[in-house]
Amino acid sequence: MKRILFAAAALLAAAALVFALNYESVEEHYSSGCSDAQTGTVTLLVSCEEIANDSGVGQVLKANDLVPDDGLIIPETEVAISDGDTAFDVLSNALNERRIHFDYSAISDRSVYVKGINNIYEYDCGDLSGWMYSVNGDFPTVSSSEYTLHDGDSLRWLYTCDLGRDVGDNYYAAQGEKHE
Amino acid sequence: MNNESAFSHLHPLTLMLWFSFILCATVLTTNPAIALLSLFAASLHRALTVGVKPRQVALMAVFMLAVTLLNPLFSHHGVTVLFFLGGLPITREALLFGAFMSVLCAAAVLWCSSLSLCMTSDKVIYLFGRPFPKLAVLLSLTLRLIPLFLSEYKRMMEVRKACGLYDSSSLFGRARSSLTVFSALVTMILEDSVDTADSMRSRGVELKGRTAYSEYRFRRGDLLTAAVTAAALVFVVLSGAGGYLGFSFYPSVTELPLNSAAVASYIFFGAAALVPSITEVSLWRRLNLTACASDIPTAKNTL
Repeated sequence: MKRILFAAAALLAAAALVFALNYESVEEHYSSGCSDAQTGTVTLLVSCEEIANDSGVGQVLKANDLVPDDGLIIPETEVAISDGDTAFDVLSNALNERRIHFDYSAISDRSVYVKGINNIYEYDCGDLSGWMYSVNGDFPTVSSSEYTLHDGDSLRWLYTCDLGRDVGDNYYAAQGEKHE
Repeated sequence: MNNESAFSHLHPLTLMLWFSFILCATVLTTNPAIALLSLFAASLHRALTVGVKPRQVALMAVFMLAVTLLNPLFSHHGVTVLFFLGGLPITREALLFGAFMSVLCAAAVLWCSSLSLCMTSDKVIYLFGRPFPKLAVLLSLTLRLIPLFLSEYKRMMEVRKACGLYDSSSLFGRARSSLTVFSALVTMILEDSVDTADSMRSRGVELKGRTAYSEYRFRRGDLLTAAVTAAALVFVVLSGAGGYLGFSFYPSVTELPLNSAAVASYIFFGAAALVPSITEVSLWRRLNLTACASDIPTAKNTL
């Protein structure tokens, strides 16, 4: 009796977990677009050119046809934003619209960290690789979910193989100079 | 544990070679065929020596299921999305990797239980006594201490209970009664270790050139086991290093390598993994026994 009760409780807990985590089928997930009032547009680009241009890295990714020949997962496009949309919101909306797989983890209530886009993950091209974003050419030092975009901004999500140095972020380069 | 294994009659060196090979090969090659072979052989040996206990089987099944289902909750890697949970994709690749990990863990746990059955402390001391004498003595003393501690605790508790000195009326009473026994136990253990140290010194433990008697001999069975293990080791290491055993789950599950090097590795690994079970069965044959090993009267059953 005790055992049956225990098993039932475990099952209930699992069901509650799934329910609390919000189950969606693939169709449901991708068809639930947000329809907030549009307040402006930004240009968005998602690129892994650093992998596409380097024949020495990402062999597994290329074998799985995950790296486009020109390295552009989303070529430069104009997307609508609504008030308060962050760099992360714009990315996730655009990827969901195109049914592209992506993965992130929540660091705190507000901060998220993008681990992978189109199954191209951090560390897939070495210890210093991963996804970064830039707005109007600058690389913000806050999480993408805490950076609010404005009308006319240019958002770029770039895959780096060298801690940002290869995609134009000179944060670590400047740090290096300071130490010297 | 009163269960005996025919495999444990082999030379300690053979046993160490065999166990380290099987454990390392199981855990270090990310190949499902090797993991499944390992799990099968480990379960078979466990069934032949300890027997099949429904409770343990159920526990293992629940553990494996939990590992399988938990992995996709934390890893969202993979190109085949099954559904979304909390806005994140649950993928078939992550589920399969979870299943693979559960097989790996189960195999490792079962092999470790066989290891503790076969590699008794006297064998450990025989192996490591010469290169690390201090460590071996320390290990044997501490390893002996824990069962000694438990059995003495039980004995003292029984005496106290028989004398009516155990207060089971409340939690506080129970704790106080147990604490009394515990304090006596610590004193006893301290005295016992002083005694042990004295008697060891009087027998010349620290003297140079002191030898220890051991009954281990390298027999034909050892040679056969070592040869099979060495062959499997060579095949698995060479095919693994050459990338012939390569298998990956992310971003998409690759096909099981079935090239000649991989197949040879599977065959040799399977043969090596089955050695304990074969040893077991061949011993029964020689003794004309068909019953399970756990039915053979042991010291405990005959008493």
